Amino acid sequence: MTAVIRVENIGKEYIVGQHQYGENFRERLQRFLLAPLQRFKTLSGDVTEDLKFQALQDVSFEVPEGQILGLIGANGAGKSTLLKILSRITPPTRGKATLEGTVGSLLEVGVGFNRELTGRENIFLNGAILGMRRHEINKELDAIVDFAGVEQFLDTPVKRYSSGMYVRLAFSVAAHLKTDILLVDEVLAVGDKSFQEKCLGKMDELSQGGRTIIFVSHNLPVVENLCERVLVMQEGRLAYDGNVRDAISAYTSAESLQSDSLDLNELPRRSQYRHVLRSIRISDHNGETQRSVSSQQALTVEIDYDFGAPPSGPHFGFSLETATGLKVLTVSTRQNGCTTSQWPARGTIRCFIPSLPLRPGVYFVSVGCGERNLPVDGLERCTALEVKAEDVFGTGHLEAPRHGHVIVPATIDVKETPS
Amino acid sequence: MPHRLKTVIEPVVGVRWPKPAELWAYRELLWVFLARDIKVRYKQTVLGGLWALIQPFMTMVVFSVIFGKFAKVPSDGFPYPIFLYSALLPWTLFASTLTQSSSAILGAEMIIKKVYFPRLIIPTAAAGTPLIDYLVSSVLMVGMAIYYGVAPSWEIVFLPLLLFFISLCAQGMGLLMGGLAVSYRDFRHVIPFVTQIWMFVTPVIYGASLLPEPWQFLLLFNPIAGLVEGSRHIWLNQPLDLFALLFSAGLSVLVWLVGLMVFQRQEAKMADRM
Repeated sequence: MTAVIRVENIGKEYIVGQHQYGENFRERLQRFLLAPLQRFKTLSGDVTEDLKFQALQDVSFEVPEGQILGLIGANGAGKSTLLKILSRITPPTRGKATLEGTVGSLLEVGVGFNRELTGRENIFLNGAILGMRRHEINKELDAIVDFAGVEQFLDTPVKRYSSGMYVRLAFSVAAHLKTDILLVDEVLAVGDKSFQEKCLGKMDELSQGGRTIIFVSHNLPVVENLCERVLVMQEGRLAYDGNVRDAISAYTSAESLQSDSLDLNELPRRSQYRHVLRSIRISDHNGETQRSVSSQQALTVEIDYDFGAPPSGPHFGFSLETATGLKVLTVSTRQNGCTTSQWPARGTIRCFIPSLPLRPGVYFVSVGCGERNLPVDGLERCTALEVKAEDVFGTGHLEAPRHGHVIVPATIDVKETPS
Repeated sequence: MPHRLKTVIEPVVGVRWPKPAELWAYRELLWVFLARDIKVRYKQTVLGGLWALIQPFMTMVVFSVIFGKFAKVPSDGFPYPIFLYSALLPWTLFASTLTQSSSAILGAEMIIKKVYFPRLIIPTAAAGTPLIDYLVSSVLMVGMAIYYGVAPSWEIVFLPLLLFFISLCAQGMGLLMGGLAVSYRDFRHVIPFVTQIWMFVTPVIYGASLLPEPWQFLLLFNPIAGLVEGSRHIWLNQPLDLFALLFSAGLSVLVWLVGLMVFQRQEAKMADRM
């Protein structure tokens, strides 16, 4: 099979700060006048590298005709940037990509929908924006309307639609886009459960039709269902390329399970944050520092902090989320309470969880702290925690992924129904 | 393997000129945007399309009273209202095309960030409604010609050509300022201001003949001045200044090309800058 999508060393660099968001003319003029000075600084090695942000680096891959490729990764890993480059919404700063055949991109449903126009008018408007020809839309009109289930409202302005109807119509147009290559970003995350299933079915149908699809999603089960191959993005790079099962574990272990205490000092955070959070340690029921713990066992999370001066009204918290970005729990001094009312300027928060109610898997840990209701420091997914697969209840049955994320002890008995 | 469309994506350096074949492939989108603008225009209004008549009519009345009656601006021996309106009509076409096409770009932010198509389609399609408005408000012009008994000259057959260059020049300015506004929001504030000043350096409320000599020569470099005067001469059956018209047409093409260049320079960056 020949590759219909060929991506070679694609890179995308953003300049953060200064002129990413509408620099005004005075600033531009100032920058222009100061440019020689800036160039002198650059040449003498005083580069403001921190102003550059590498959204994508050296991404290369090929997609053969008819393949459905899943693209997964944490928020900010570069998935959407890659999709935007392939959709030609934004150009890369390095590298080259070649796409053979007509390309349709569905980064959002209902692009260009106008609230004043009727459902029918919006079908033609949205379809044309997506690159459909009028005769193609005409041919698909019945199917689109039928799929969305909006027959009687076809000539009603969409501002009178319920949000569900609106979304169904929007997806429906997108689902009838017939291009050789489809670039899809999370459009399935719309509508109610039954409509989502309908959408999934449609995606499957499209794939049977021999289309080449790149599908970005947070939803691993969906990716698992639809895609034969998965790319894992991590910090703008391609971290894994292969089958779905391995990808999911690569995705989770990529955020490597470090040992001992993790130094948070050097980790990047948002520019407005102060470096208050210093390190984090997770230890198991034996008090040993671990990244791998057992379900239904005790767990201790310790966070070292340094406010510089005694903080007033501080709060701390951490949360665990799954590889797919689903937050499973948050523990915080505000919510769970804290035994201290006198906070030292420097100290260690020690949080003890008597029994961890999570099923086996890898969870990402995010920490944060604030003062008087305002965030002061925070690190998302700074480390990972593995919950080992163990027969915690001694029944010989292990928890399977489909059983959810939480395990709770329960007593179950049976009473005979009197006949 | 059959020949298929091939898209090559590479870093963009400098100006990304539009590809005619690509623009042709997206021609339907131009009509769809145009149709949308027209349909949305007077939705949920009581008077609907009548607004396209009321606005110029009221402007004409107010200006006639202030400039014709009170300020006594000379009107080459014609009744001031028809003298004014024959120039106000093309001027309004220019001003609203400029405003519409430049603001359409920022207005399409949500679309630009989510779908690719040649961005030039957006400001070009936005130039459509001012033309429609022009046609509607021309009804008033015809009415006035009958009322005042002033017949236009035979050169009226060239009027569409005049309108074409007025629209082209306005689109050029729209591309220039709308394109720059994507990166430098300053231009959003510049546009209404420029339009206002421009009206006063264009013989709309006064006639070019009012100006003393060095100024009349300078007026040549305002492409809209020549075209607006041209429209007035046609409606009032006065001789056309062919040189000024050709010069203005040439300048309009130049303005459009410069605007296009600036716009296409911004095109690739648009989604990132918005």
